[in-house]
Amino acid sequence: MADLRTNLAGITSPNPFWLASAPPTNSGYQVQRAFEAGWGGAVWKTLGEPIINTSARFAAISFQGKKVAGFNNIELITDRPLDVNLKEIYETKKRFPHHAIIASLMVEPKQEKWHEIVKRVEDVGVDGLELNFGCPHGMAERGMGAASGQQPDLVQAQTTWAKEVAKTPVIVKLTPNITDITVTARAAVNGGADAISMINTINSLMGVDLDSWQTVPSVAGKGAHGGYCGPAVKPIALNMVAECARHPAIAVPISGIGGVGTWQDAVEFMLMGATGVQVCTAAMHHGFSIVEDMIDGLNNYLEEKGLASVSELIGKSVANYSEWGNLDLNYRTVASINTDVCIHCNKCHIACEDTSHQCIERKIALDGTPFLHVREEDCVGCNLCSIVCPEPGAIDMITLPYEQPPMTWNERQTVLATYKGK
Amino acid sequence: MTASWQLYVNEKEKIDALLHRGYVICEVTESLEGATVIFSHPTATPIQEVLTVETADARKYFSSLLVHSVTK
Ligand SMILES: Cc1cc2nc3c(=O)[nH]c(=O)nc-3n(C[C@H](O)[C@H](O)[C@H](O)COP(=O)(O)O)c2cc1C
Repeated sequence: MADLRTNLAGITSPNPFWLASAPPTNSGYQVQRAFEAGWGGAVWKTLGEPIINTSARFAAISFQGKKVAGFNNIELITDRPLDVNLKEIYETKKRFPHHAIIASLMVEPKQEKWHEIVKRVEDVGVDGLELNFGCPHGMAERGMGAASGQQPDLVQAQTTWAKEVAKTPVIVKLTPNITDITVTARAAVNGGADAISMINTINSLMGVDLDSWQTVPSVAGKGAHGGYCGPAVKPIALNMVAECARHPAIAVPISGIGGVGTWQDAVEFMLMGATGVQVCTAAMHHGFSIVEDMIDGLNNYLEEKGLASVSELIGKSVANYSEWGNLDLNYRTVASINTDVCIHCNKCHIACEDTSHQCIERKIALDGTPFLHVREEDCVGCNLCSIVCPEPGAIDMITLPYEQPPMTWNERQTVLATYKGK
Repeated sequence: MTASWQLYVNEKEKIDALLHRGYVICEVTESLEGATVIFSHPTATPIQEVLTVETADARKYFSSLLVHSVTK
């Protein structure tokens, strides 16, 4: 068995799979059952002044038979008194001393409010704190969550206030509802954050009912924007993690969140710089037991790769992620259709003919059988045909030998600048 | 439909022909029409030739030659 233990800024857990702050971590009963199921850590449902929720809170997008491709909620932070949560955190920590319990916190952007809540939750023995600067609805209208998380100065100030009294590591959870997440990540680092986590949910309106013309979800005929998460947000989250991981001024560990539902997702986040991952929607969709497959799959993968510890994955793909200007313009890949495997649905031909570079021809062999042929010289290697192809193995994207040595756009522009007309 | 590859080949042939005759690229101006490339030759007539290079592949081609000659 590979060593799955993780250490995020001093917070240790038996494996890198944590439950994110959300309904699955609402109570001691749930978190204890999650730990029994195998989760390595839990970020408790955000603590703060207890709120009042609406009824009708969630909605989801099903896409071509796949339920919950994206998930939306208008739920706020905990609706339970702080004392009740703290008692359950204390009991849970006592039962599971080696699992990570992180308290997620959200209060008004005032120094005394942060001091008070940090001291109170640390008294019950949490392993770390996560500052929730991300909740995009409701709390943001009250000046908290994403409202304060979108302002770098407030991110820095609140992190500083938490750090002034915190004895345990402080993770700052960032909102994706911002143009450049590295700006707020740097603000968190400047405020003394020990780690950052991302992403919280993305502003969204799930839909409009075509009969009633009401929003989905609808609360007595009215809707408000919610937060989007689940499988659909993974590429957005992965990019944000990678952008932070490769930023030289953001040298703190990252907890990756957003669309993680399998061990493969987790590995991708770790390769892109995350020390561990947090999961919400997948647990809400399938229950706590999904962690068993995640642990087994991760362990098998590490063994196959000959890696002794999961920590050896962290950041291994970060150097492969760069700016567009550093990509090689002379690298060439083209489509190759495997006639034996092709089912002649012509989707690739239609996609290429209508929306790409018109290089897939429909032909008829001498014996009368139809086949598709790629004119390699006109293929730009866009990948579209292989993306729309429904038959696995029918289209390969193959790499062609170099005709010219590698050249990036940045190299080209540097040299061309010396050939500019006067 | 004219294959874009053929347009590229036509432009590449013109570039290669000038280079073959001893012309060198001395000036490149990029614009909405593509690239205007000025070739010069110290002794030939004319001493300058101008090509408008439109296709992406040909613009990539001549710039690769320039980058390669600098890095060689
Ligand atoms: C119903 C619901 C409630 C949530 N509540 C909180 C919360 O109280 N605090 C918080 O930091 N994030 C909250 N989140 C965001 C999640 O922690 C997580 O950042 C987000 O869902 C992305 O992860 P996922 O794609 O695995 O769901 C909530 C998400 C959902 C779906």
